[in-house]
Order: sequence, then C-alpha cells, then structure tokens
Amino acid sequence: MVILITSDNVKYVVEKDVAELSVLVKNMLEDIGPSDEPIPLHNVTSTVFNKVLEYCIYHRNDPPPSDDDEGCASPLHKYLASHICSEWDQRFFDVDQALLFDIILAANYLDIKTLLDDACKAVAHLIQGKSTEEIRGIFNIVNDFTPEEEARVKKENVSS
Amino acid sequence: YLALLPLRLWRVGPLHTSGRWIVDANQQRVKLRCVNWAGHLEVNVPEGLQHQSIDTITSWIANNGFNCVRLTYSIDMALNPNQTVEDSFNAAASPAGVSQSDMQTLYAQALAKNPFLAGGTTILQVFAAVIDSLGSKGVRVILDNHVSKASWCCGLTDGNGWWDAAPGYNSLNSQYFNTNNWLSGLSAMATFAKSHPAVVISESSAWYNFVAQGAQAVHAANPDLLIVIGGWDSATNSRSLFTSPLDTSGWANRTVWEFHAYQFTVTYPNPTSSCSVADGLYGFFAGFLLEQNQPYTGPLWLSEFGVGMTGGPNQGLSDDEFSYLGCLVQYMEGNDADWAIWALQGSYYVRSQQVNYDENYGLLTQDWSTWRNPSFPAIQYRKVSMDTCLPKFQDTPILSVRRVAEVSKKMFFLRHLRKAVVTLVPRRWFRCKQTSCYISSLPPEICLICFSYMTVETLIASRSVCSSWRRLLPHAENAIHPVRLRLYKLYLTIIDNPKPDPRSQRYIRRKLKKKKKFDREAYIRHLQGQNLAYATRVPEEFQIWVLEWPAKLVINGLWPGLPFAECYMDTAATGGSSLRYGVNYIAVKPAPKLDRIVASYTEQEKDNRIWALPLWSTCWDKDSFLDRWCHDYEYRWRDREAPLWDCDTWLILDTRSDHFGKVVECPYEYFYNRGALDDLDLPSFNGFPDWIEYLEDKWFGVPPCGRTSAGTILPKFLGIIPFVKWKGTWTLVYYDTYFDPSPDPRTVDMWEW
Repeated sequence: MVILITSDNVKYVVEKDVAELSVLVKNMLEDIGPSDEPIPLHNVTSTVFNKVLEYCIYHRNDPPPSDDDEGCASPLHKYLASHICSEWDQRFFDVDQALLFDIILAANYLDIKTLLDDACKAVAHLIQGKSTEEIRGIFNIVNDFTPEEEARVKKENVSS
Repeated sequence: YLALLPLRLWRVGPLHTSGRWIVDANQQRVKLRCVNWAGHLEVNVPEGLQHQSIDTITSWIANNGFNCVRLTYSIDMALNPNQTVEDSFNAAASPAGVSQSDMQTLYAQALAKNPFLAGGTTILQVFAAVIDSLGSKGVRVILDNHVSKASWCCGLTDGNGWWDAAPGYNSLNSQYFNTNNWLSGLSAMATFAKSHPAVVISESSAWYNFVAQGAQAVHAANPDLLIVIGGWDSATNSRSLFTSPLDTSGWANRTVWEFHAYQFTVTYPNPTSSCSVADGLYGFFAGFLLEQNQPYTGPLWLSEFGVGMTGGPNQGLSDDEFSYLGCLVQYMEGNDADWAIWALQGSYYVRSQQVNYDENYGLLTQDWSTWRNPSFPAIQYRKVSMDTCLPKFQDTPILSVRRVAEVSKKMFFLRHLRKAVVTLVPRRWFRCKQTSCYISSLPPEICLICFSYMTVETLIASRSVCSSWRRLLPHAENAIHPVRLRLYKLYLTIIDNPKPDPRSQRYIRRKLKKKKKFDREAYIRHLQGQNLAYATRVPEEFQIWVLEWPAKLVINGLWPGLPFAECYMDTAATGGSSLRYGVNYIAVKPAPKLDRIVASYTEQEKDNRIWALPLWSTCWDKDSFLDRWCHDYEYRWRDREAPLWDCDTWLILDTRSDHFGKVVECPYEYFYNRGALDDLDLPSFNGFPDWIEYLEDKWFGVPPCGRTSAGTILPKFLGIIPFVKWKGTWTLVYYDTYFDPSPDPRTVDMWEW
C-alpha cells in the first residue's frame, strides 16, 4: 500500500501496482525505498485525482503498450481521434472540458502515458470534422488575426 | 548474445539527414550509438592491436550493442597513408618519447595477434581492415579527423588548435594546423571511404569559412558521406549558430552537429550536480540545434562523453561523474539524440611516454579482453534506450522537454520538484486568447500530442483558428502520422500554387452541396470487404485520403463523393482544379469493384493478373459499364486523335506485387493486349510511386498517360453526364446534362453529335 496526499490534503491509500502506473510515483518509491511516509502530489487536486484513480484501477492489469502491439485496432486506427479503445474509456472521457484538461495536466504531471494519450485523443475528438469557426466556439478561442492575415487565412481555409 | 544477433543483419548504406534525424535510404531513422576508438596517436594505427585481433575487438563492439564506431585519425596519417606498419611503429619512438626497442616489442606483439600487419602492409590498410571488419558486422564507422599532428589531444599548446590561415592564429596553439594539409587530408579520407561502404560520416572540427571549405572538400570527394561539424571550445559550444547559421546548402541534408560533454567540461559548470542546471546548459550551448524547422536544425550527436570506470564509490564511478552521467544520459534520452562514448580503448600503445598506457575511461580492460567495469553496461543501458530505429512519428518532438523528478538526497523525498526546462520558445507565444480558458492551460508540448491525433481536415481547420495555433502546428510535424503529414503538406502545396478554374469549381461546389453527405467510412469498408476475398489491401495513403481529405479540394474531379458521371473537358492545360476528361469510376457506390490487370505477359497464366482499383477511364460502354469493354465507336467519333486520349487510371492493391500502392495510367487496352506490368516502364506510362504523389502531380497538370503536350486537343466544352443505376446496370442519363451557365465561346452543345 502507498499513501498519497493531493494538494488539497486528501489522503489516499492506494495499492502499489495501481500507484505505480504513474511513473512519477514509481520513481519516487524507488528513490525513497520502503517507507510509510505519505507522498505529496502538489499539482493534483482530489477532484481530478478521483478521476485518475478510477482510470488507473480500471486499467491496472493492461499489458504495457508496445510498438508492435496493435491493441484493439489496426495501426492506422491508433492515430484516429475517434478511436478510444473501449466503451468504458469513451464514457470515462465524457466530462466537461475543464475537467478533461485537468486530467491531461494531472496525467502529464504524474507521467501516466496511456491516460495522457487517451485524454489527448478525447480532445482531438471534440473538434473532429469541425470547421474553424466551430473549433473557436468549442474552445472559446478569440480570433486574433489582423485584418490582412484574416483575409489570407480565409482564402486558404476550405473548411468554412 | 543471441538477442543481439539481429544487429548483424543490418545492411550498412549511405545515410542522410532529415530535419533533426539521421535517416537511411528508406527514410528509416538510424540512431547512432557509438563508441570511440582512438587511432590518432603517434603510431597512426588503431589502438589495441598488440592485445587482440581486429576481429575479436570488432566482435566485442557489435555484440555489446554498439552500432557505430568513431574512429579517430590524424592528418599526418591521411597525408602519408602508404607508410608501412613496421615503419610507423619505429618512427613513433622519438615523437612519443620512448625507446626504439619498446616500439619493436609492441610491433612484434601486434604482429602475433594480427599476422597481416607483416611486410608491406600500410597504415591505411589497417584502417581499411578495421572498417571492413566492422562493416561486415553491421557496424558503421565515423572517421574523425581528431588532430593534425599525430599525438594525444587536447591541450592548449598541442599545436592542433586553429587554422593557421585564420585570424587568431598563434604559433603555439596552431603550428601543426596547416589549412591546405587539412583540406587535402579530409578529401583523401573521403575518397578512401568510397571503397569502404561502412564509413558513413567524415568529420571536420571547427569554423564558418573554414568549416565550409572542409565540408565542401569532403562532399566533393564523396557525396554519400554525412559531414559532422563541431563547435567552438573543444566542440562544447555551438551557440553562435543560433544567431548566425552556417550555410550548409553546398552539402544539403548531410550536416550532423556534434558536441562534447565531460564532467570536467568548463562550458557546463554545474557545482551542485543539478540536472535542471545541466539541461539548461546543454540546451543553451548545443541542444537548441534539435529544434525543428530552424535554419540550423540538424541531428546533434554527442560524440564524446565518458567517465572514469573504476575507483569511485558508485559502482566504480566517482560522485561527481556519477551524477554528471545520470543527468547527461537523461538529457540525451529525453531528446532521443545520437551519442558516442569515450572510449573503447583500455590502453594505448604509447601515451605520456609510457608504453601500454592505461586508459581509465576505457570500456575495455588494459588487455582489451572484457568490460573494465562490469556494472557499467547496466548503469548505462538501463538509462539509454537501446532502440535502434523507431519510426519517425513515434519519436519525441523536441518541444516535449524533459521533466525532471528530482528527489533531494538530504531532505529525503519532501522536496521533489518537477520542472519543465529548456523550453526554447516562450510559452505565451503559443497561447490563444480565450474568453474562459481551458485549453490554454495546456503547455504547448501537450497541445502537440492533441494535434497528432487530429484528422487532416481538422489540422487544416486548426491552422486558421488563431495565430498561435498557426505557429504551433509546424512543431507537431514529428508527432503526426506520416501519411497525414504528407496530405497536410499537399494541402499547403495546393494553396501555395493556386490553379484557378472557376467553371469546374462551380460544378464541384454545387454537386457537393446538393448531394447528401457521402459516407467515407462505408466506402473504405466496402473496399476492404473486397480485400478479404482477394488478399489485397487498401494503401494507407488512399485510405486516409478518402477518410480525411477536404472534399472542396478535389483534384481533377477525382472524388468518390461527386456524382458518378462522364465529363468532356480537357484538364491538362489548367491543372488540378479542373475536371478531367473521362468517367470517374472512383464514384461508383458503394465502391468500385476491383479488377485484375496483367502482371506478366504470359496470357495462359491467368494467375499472373494482379488486383487493382479502377479509378478513372476514358473508355466506357453505356450498357454494361463494369465489363469495361470499349467499343471503337464510343470514343472515336469525337476526334480522329481520340486514341491518344484513351487512358485508364489504376491503383494497385495487390500485396503480392512489387507495384503495390503505385498508381498507373495507361491506354485501356494496354493490359489486355500489349504488355504487362512487370515489363512496364513506369515513367513512360505515367507511373506514380503512390497516391499522394499522383495527386500532387495532377495538381500541377501532369497530362494523362505520359503525353508530353499539356495543350488542348479536345474541343473545350464542359459537359457532364451522370450515370444512374437502371435495372441493375449503370446507365448514362442524357437529360441531366450540366451546362455551364456562362457559356464559353468554344462551348459546344452536347447534342451536336
């Protein structure tokens, strides 16, 4: 068992194999050796960590990803945003944007590659097949091109 | 050793560079994992031959996972290659400061281990033997012009420092660096490398004008070689390249930058052994060269680093060197860059006036028999990934910088930090303004991961979202699927080279608007359904094109989502935005039926036909279209020259064929009557290496079937007649003819004939 403390001081007692899906935690455990000291996770709040933990527990027994492993799809499909492996994963990422981006930041901080990749796929999926205007709308992005740039961009853009 | 055997199967061949990567002729990345082997000391023969045979040493290198050797030589050797080995040993006695008899003993020992050194064998032949022996084991060789005058390198007064013709020359530091000798030596070795294919790189150290001369000398003598260029301060500082790049166009795609880093290197002061300080220094002085799409972008090769192997408390390493190595390896691994460790040799013939001088930086023991420090491979290999050639798109882009989890030794784990370092571009640069920001909370390197999962259409749309995404997108190129990247680049080519044809474009826009959305996935599924029956495969280029290409950028009317129709119009003159004369088979729904074309001329052997996808044809039969029998009267009426226009386009899907994935254009009868694909001289029939190149050529108006003229033969009128399915067969519909609303004076009424 490993004790982890999130930035808002919530204590989690997690099984070692689940906690070690995070390369950060794994490295720290290796470095400090056997110890009962809790490990602080400064950049993760408990709201986000609940979600991360849910993912890690569900995927705890997954074989490690490898290059020639086609997983659940053809090699091409690995690159398709629409392709998130299981229905469970699709439901898991069906959350509001703020949480989704927090999950990405947490996955990056904790160094959980599969979660980071899947979450990025989910972001790409949000805007798949959308036009430039629609993308701006989805992410609340302000069009910051100067009028001249704007004219050039409009001419090039075939999606609107 | 069994596990390492596949390394031996490598074929060595010429390399070149692509952005920050070194790649082979097949565009596969080659990661250099090298060991230095000295051959530049007074004896001018690769070290260690008095202890082991060449074959024993080269086997050890290959079996321990190295894929290349940086073999050092002096200009003395290059300019005097025909000296015999025996003479060279004897002549070394006085410059090296030992007695003649010592040298004779060494020569006798070397002769015993390597009998071929006898008699008239020259020193260059020894280099050749070493290189060829390495080559036969799949190990590449980098010839490194280490010094001018054969001797130990490097002190400030060894006389090898700077070109004698350059400003800043002082006799103490440069007396042996004769510029002309240097140039002829480089060029001699480059010529020598021609007959020894294992040599991939020739190396020249130091600057601008002079480096350019050296590189040109090498490139002229042997254009297959990569050219390694080192920086200032014993190749530790390349910062000047940041502001004033070197013009490498004379030897394009051949430049590899190098740098050196030892624990004692003064350019990288790091008293607290902090990895983030080290990362910052390496990044500032050298690592920035890896950033893609800069004038200075190129592979960066850490050609010298190393540690004392024994005597320290950390598995033999001293405290300082242990932490130095940890940080350096982490930095190199994080950037996935190439390296060469100093050094192989456990001892030198002579150094510092001592015979059999022991080298504590050597991987090998003094007698060159085994690892000096048996735990070193574990220290090093655990950290340095030994993967040889990951496909490009899986490599980490440079902007996904190292994040370091640092656990303070004294404070236990409490003060762990996780930092992003060496971000080369300020982050705000990549931020889009948002009214309520979520996505802008992501660091740019994560945005890049998101970009890598976007479809071609979405990439194109993202480019226009805001100015910072537009700037960020080119940095994602290493992470994007290579085929998607090519399609995206094709889009860029198209918008940079407009080929206006408003008449065709009006038709296309109208049809795309009217039609209910064409189901791209169903189309591909149906093609793949035929795969099962025929053991064929849909090439990725075509597949991603159908799934993700923006329909409005149809090239030559080739798009499954347009109506299945016949068009009368010349295209070659106006390029890709025009419709093309003929029938767009590609639009048959749910997908065209595969057909077989002759792969070899023997008519009796039906199995010699291979499967291909018909995409376009100028020949049709309105009653039984898919049987594709062309009657003379169907096309000859239009023009006496009509047979010249007769042209089919096929995409070859048969995986058994060497031509898989290619696109061929040829007269319709060709595969039935005249020839076979194996005999086909592809260029003369408009053969295209793959779908994307085909599209690009068509955009620029390459005329069908290898015709040379891009001019108009047919009367220029736009007539488009759709087919409909009637009683199970595709039939031409005459009543739905499309006429141009703004008639061209040359427009001919369809019904005239």
